[in-house]
Amino acid sequence: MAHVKTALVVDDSSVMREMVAQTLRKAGFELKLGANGQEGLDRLAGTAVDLIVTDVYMPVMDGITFVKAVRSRPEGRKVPILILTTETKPEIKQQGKAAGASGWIVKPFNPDMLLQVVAKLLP
Amino acid sequence: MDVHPHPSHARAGVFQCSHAKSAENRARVLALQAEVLEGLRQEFASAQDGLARAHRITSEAAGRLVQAFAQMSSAVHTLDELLETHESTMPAELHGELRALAIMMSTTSVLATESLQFEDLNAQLLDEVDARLKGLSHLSANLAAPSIDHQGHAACPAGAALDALATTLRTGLDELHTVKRTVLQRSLDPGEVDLF
Repeated sequence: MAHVKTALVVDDSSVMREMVAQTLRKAGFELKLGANGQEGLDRLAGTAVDLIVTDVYMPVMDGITFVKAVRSRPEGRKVPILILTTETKPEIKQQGKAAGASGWIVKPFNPDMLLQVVAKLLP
Repeated sequence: MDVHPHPSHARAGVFQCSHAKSAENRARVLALQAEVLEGLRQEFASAQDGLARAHRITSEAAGRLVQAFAQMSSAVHTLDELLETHESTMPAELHGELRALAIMMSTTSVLATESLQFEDLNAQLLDEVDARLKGLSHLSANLAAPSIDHQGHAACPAGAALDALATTLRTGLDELHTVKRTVLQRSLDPGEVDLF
């Protein structure tokens, strides 16, 4: 039986979560959703995912802190993490890269482009 | 209250105030200042209320659009499945027309996915403007504080009180400068993609 891929989408905007989730569902992903970094970590507890898409600016725990926390866990060292944000400043992007993110996508995203990026990260 | 210069002052062009006149003018200035401060407070509150309502309305509208979009997406998916299942039994012309319709709806869904993201950008921009308004409101209230005491008389802070006021104003300015500008986008054109 084929492995069903799972993605975790973390964003404080319910509209963004739904847009990303629908895009990934069409590509066959099962979804876990979180409204901030802490909820993202909670959703990850004890389970592995194939892909994480996270926003940066969120209450409770921001996306950069969330990426660092995921990378500090054994099960999170290799999972591709895409940061999807309105932020365009190079210094913040550098922070995301240093935290361990795999890529940076500036909102609004194009769904076809997102799936192309995902295909590159998950061959 | 009359906020315009007194007509007699304008005609004379100079102020020659007696002690009594001076006290009267000072009282008028203080009353004017109090009125303007109250007006500013109300305007700031009104602007913040407008922002909060705009935030709620756009979020609610976007939520409904997302629901409608999800149903449309589901319908497109069903149509695709039906076309695949019945390709061999369906008249070729009908199949072609329905296939074209499905492709058109799929293309539209890409546009809708991009466009619905307006809600997130909009919400962040409204939050930023709200934070600036709060800072400006706080700053304007503190800026006027030293000239009127609790009884509505002229006040002149000195020493520690003046230092405290300077610190409060400086902090207020610093807080305004630290409000994050998280949205620089000017359109809904898709953003850049960078793989590390």
